[in-house]
Amino acid sequence: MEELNKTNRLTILVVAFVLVIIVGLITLRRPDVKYTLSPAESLGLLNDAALVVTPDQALTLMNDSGGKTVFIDVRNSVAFERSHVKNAINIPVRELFAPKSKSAFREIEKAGQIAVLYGETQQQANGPWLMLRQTGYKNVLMFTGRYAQLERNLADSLLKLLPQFSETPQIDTAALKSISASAGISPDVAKTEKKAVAPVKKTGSSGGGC
Amino acid sequence: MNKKYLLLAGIAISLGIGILFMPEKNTEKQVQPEQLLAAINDPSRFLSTDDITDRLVKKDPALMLIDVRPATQFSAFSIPGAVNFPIDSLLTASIQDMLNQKEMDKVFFSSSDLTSDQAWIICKRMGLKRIYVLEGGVNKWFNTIVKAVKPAETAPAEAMELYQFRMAACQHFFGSREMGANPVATAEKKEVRVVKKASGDKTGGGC
Repeated sequence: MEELNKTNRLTILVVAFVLVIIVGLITLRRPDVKYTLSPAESLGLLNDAALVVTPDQALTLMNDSGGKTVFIDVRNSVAFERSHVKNAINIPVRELFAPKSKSAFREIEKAGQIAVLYGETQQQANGPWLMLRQTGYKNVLMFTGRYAQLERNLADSLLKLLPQFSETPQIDTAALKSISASAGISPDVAKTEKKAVAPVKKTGSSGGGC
Repeated sequence: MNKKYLLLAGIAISLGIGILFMPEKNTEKQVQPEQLLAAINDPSRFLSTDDITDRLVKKDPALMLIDVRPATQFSAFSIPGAVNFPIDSLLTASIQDMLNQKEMDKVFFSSSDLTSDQAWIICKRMGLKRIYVLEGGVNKWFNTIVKAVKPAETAPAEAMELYQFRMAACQHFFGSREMGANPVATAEKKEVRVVKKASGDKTGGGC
């Protein structure tokens, strides 16, 4: 009797143990999207000129890519509806990891094509590009200009007028020098100008006489 | 009975081996891709140049300005009070420790706001808190604060106030400009009237 009891207890223990493990494995949260690059590796992506597309390159790609290039528009759907690059796919930033977008990227990968991300500015395409790269998409490039540079109607007329954001320092050192120089000079200026002496001579007094 | 003990032991050993071969989990602290994407889509990380300048002038102790450009560009010109952590060295242990100070607002900037945003994304992924990006970077800071443009006469009062704030801030950082120097000179330019009395010219009358 005692033996039977012991066996039962053991059976229950084994079953409970296995159950806990199974439940644990089932409820284990597995993220859909995972990083494939370590932070250090993604840091290495940043200065790689082979991973970006310059405006000049983009224009030639648009003309004759031979179906090898797919433009991805990361702007919102309203802007996309208004105008977009021919044959571009609209994947707004916040829908980047949506199932639909993922299948789109997988298709591009399967077809051996290259995706070029562009946004209103390079800044907008930067985040999605880095996210896709970090999560294992190897055929994603970033366009380094603004959307206006891709739009044919705008490209010729407005290209030169638009302010270009660039990572080259645009510090007007002359202006800076003039500021610090004038600050250095100002005490002297004050000194020399301080004495504005206006001597006044009295002319003939009211000397009275008889 | 023995079999069941063996079974238990077998499960425990297999789990142990499983744990042994599990990939090292250092992703605990990291922000998952979905959350990171949501953060990227949120523009609240951008701080304006005026905001930063205001805090600099007020000597906000919680503000930490980080220049992620190469050292050569940093030494050529940078925002006063900034520290230089070039983006390549961002993940070194000492810099990560500096960035991990919980009570500081860390503001990344570069020449524009592209490199700084990339630095922000990597640091956000590393789970750092209270990190921001200076909108427009040094170029914009220089062109709005140092080279502040005087608004037109017809501009609203706020624009004029903003201009005066920028001028004052510039003066705070780099000393006074021409505009600032003049009032000092004029104030001291008192006109001194020296009245000379001609000695032989006395009012002495007399007969």
